[in-house]
Amino acid sequence: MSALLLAAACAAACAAAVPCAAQAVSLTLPIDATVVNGTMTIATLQNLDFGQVTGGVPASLAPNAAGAGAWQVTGSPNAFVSVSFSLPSLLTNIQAQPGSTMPISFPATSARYRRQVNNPNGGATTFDPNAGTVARFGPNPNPTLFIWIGGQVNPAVATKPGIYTGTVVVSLAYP
Amino acid sequence: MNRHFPVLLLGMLGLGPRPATAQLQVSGIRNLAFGTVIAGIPTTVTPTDPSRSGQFEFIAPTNSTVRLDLTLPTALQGPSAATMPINFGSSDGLIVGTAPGSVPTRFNPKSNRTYKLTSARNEVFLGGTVSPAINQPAGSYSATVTLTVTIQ
Amino acid sequence: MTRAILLGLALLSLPGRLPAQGVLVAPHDVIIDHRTRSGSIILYNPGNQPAEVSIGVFFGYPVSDSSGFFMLRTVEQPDSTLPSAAGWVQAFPRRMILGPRERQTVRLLGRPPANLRDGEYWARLAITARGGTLPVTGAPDSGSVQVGLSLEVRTLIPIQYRKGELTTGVETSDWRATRVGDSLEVRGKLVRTGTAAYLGVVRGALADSTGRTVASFSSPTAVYLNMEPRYTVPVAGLPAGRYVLRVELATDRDDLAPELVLRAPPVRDSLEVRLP
Repeated sequence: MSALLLAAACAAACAAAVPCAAQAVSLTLPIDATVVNGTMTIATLQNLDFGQVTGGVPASLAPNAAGAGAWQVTGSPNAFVSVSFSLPSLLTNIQAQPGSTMPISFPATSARYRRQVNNPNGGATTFDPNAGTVARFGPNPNPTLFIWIGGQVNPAVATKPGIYTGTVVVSLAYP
Repeated sequence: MNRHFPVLLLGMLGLGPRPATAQLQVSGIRNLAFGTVIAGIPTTVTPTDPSRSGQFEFIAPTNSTVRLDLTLPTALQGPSAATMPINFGSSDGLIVGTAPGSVPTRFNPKSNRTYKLTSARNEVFLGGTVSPAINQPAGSYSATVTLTVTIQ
Repeated sequence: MTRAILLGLALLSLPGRLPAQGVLVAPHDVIIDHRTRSGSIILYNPGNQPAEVSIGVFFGYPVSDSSGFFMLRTVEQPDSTLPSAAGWVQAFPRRMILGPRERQTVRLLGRPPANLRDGEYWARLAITARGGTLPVTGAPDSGSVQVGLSLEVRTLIPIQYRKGELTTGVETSDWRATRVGDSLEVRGKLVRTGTAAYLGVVRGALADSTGRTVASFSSPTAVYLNMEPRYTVPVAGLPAGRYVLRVELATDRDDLAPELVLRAPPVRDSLEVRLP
C-alpha cells in the first residue's frame, strides 16, 4: 500500500474516532438612533375660494365661511408662535385676457385662530391678518393650532371674465 | 512498511478535529444605524441599505448547515429612561454568501433559520423600523442585537 | 352693466378641500458649535403632492411688544453691535423639490470671519414651501385655461452659532397679575444674563390659601436680551380671595437635545394675587 493511501486512511480513522461537537458563536452589534424633536409643520387644509362673483358687486368671505382658507400647524406643546401674513392687494387674471386685475382686501376681522380644535366657530380668536398675531400651540398630546382667513373682493362693473389668482403667504416664527 | 509511516501517522493524529473557534467565526461589520429620526415619524432601514443596515459576517465550513438566531430588542433606550419602540418585519433579515453566484435570501429575523452554506464566508444584514412618539424626548437612543450562529 | 362672471378665485388652490399640504421642519432650533461650524435640519413632506422648498437666512431675534406679545425683530443690515450670523451662515441645498413622503437633510455651514470673538451669534432660517400646480376648470367663454396656483407657507426658526465657553441665565422682576375676564394675565420683566440666549421653560402655579394648586401655566420661552412677556392663567370658576402665584424659569427643555441646552440654575419668584 502506498504511503499516501495509508495516510488518508489514518486521517479518516482519526476523524471518525473523535466526532465534532455542535459549535455556536455569538456576537452583539449596537443599534443606534438620534431623535430630533421640536418639529413644526404647517399644512394648508383648504383654499380661499370666493366661487362665482358678479361685476360691480363686492363679495365677502368670513373666516368661518365654507370657502375660507385654512391651515393646520403642529409644533411644540404650549409654545407661543408669531403668525404673520403676506397678503395681495390685487388678483391677476391668468386666462385669455392677461393684465386684468381685481382688488382684494382683508378686513380687520377676516382671520381667526384656535388651539387644538378645527372649528372656527365657538372658541376661535379673531385677529387682523394685516397686523398678525401671536398664537399658541395646544398642549400634549395635541399640540396643534388652526388658522382661518377670509377676505373681500371688489370686482369692477366691467371686470373681464376668467380666473383670477394670487398668493397668500403665512409665516410662523418661533421665539 | 513504509519507513515514513510512523511520521505520517503522528501527522495524521495531529490533524484531528479542529477547535470550535477555528471552524466558526462571527464578526460585526456595521451597526444598525437609523441616524437622525423625527419625532412622530416612523423610520425604516431596509436590510439592503448600503450604509445603515446592520451587518454581521461569519465564516464556517462550506456546505455545512448553520442555524441563525437573532436576539432582538423591542425598544431603544434614550435619555432620562425614555424608550423608543423598534420592530422587525418578516423580511428584515438577509443572508448571502460571498462566493460568485450566491443568492441573497431574505428571512424573518424574529424566527431562527437553518441555512445550507454555499461559501465559507457569509454576510447577514439586518433592517428594522423605529417608531418615535410625537413627544419623544430628543437625544441619542441605543440597543443591541445578538447573532448566534450554530453549526448543525 | 353687471355681468355674471364665472370666476374661480383660487388664492391658494382649487375650490374645495385640498389634501393637506405642508412641510415638516425638525428641529425648530438649530445650534451650531464653532468647533464643527456645521448643523443640519430635516425637512419632511408628509403630503401626497410634491413640494417646492426654498431656504433663506436673515437676522432676527425675539422681543416682546408693549402688550407683552412675542414678536420677531428683524434687521436688514445689522451693524457690528448686533451679534448677527446671517451674513456667514449658509444652507445647502437652498432649493429643492420634496416628493411625497420624502425627507431631505439641509446642511448649515458657518464661515465666520477669522477674528470672530467668543460669543453667541444669531440668525433666522426661513423655510418656504410651495405646493404643486393643480388642474383647473376653464371659464365657459375662454377655451382651455391653465391656472397657476401658489400655496406658500413659511417657517422661521432660530439659529444660534456658539463660539467658546458660554453661559446663560435670566433675572426676573416686577411680576404682576391682572384679572381679565376668565383669565389672569401675568407679566414680568426678564433680563438675560451671561453670554448666550436663555432657552428655557416658564412655569406658573396659582395656589389657594391652603397651598393647593388651582391653576397653572407652562410655556417654552427664549430670552435673547430683555423681554416683558405676557402669560395667561385660566381662573374661571375660582372663588374670590387671596392666592399666591409662584413662577419658575428653568432650562429643562424636552424639545431640544439635552446636550445643546445651556444650563442655568432655576429662577423662582412669587407674588400675592387677589381675585375679585
